[in-house]
Amino acid sequence: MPDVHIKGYMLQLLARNGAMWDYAVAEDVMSAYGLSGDYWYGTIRLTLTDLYAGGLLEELEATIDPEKSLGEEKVLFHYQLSDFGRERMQQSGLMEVSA
Amino acid sequence: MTDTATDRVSQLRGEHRSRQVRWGFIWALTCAVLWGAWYVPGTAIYFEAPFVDMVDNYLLAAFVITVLNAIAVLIALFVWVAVLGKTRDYVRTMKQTKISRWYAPAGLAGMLAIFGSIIAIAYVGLAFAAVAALMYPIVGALAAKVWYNERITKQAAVGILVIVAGGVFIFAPGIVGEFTGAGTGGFLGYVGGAMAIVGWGLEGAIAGRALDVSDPDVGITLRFSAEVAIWIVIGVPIAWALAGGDALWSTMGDALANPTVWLLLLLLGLTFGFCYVAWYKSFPLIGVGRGQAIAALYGPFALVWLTIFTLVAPSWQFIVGALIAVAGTFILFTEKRDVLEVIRAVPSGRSRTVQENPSSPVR
Repeated sequence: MPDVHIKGYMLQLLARNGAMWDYAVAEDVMSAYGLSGDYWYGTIRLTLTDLYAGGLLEELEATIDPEKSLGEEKVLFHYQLSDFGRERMQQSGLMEVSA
Repeated sequence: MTDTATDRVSQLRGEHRSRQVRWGFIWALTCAVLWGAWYVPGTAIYFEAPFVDMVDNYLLAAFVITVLNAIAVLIALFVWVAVLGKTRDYVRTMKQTKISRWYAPAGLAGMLAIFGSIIAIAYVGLAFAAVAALMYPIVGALAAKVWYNERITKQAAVGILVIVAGGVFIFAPGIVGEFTGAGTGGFLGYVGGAMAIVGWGLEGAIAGRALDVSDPDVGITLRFSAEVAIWIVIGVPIAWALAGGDALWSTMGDALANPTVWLLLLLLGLTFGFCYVAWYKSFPLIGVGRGQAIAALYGPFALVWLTIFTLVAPSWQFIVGALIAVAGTFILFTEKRDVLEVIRAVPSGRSRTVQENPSSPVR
């Protein structure tokens, strides 16, 4: 299990992988922390919404794919880290040193 | 994708982003309702033993109540975080010291604000303290704008000022009498009022910074952990020295021997704890300036709650002031959604297209 807290892990994940869909972020986080269920899926999507509203993430595109959202017609977002998000990560000691 | 599918996506996207903004306002309003409700047990506790007999030792009573209040809030928040399954994330976040350390100044600013308003009540009066505390969103909005470019549009600035004006209007009539009656201790009271304005405003701005990289439920619990630690490590020894050890401990002991005080502490912990949870949850969604301004509706709400519990009808100033504050709320809420979607003026992606037009350089 990662040492870093969940929101920090999500930022690091986006910094490593570039753009990611929200459901992919949720799947990765849930498997890394051994979490499951709608509650955590929703919590992680909510955290992405916080990050977007704060300008740390940029929204690249949106789509609908019921298969990816438990059969419901829900909007899915493709996010990437913004320059501001990267700056905040650096200031917070979250930026991993790349080889 | 077909045109209909594209339309559907853009419709759902719009609904999702509207919900995001709406929830920011709902959280801030929840904070205002609970903050107002806090004044009921917060006032009632002074009428309980041992505090009721401490008229000549008001500051010691206030100190003990404030410390016990902070501990009650922290316990309520620990339960909250455990119920949400975030206890381990609390520990993980605390270990990220470059993040968790921000909650110490946030807690310090908040506790100075609380103590400042208590001093203001003691040396000037309740109305002055209320008015002073209500002005904090001005400091919060300014700090967030200057520090990290929070997008405070003209409409937002007007909305914030109108809400503050409404709150001030409610409490202002009592002030003149308090100013003239303040006497020699008045200056200390004014310092207390300034502490409330600056303290709560800065707390919000600092929290807004820390919440960028940490969870609100965890963040508020860290902030109260810091406050309780500061009280115990610094506040209690100072109070012990000033009040004389016996007076402090006997007040503490008498308070905890009274079952009604325990009940009131439970109510204080729940109302203040969840008001703060809601406050911190609103900041990432609608920003510190707007979140604080809506939360400043606690002034009118406090009077509503006190009216319900005391059955004393409020004055006409209350009606007018509350209407002004509600009008200010609408000014904030009716701002264009794309302005509110990303609360920072960061030069990137979608936000670049909706930034305000630069003002004309022609004079």
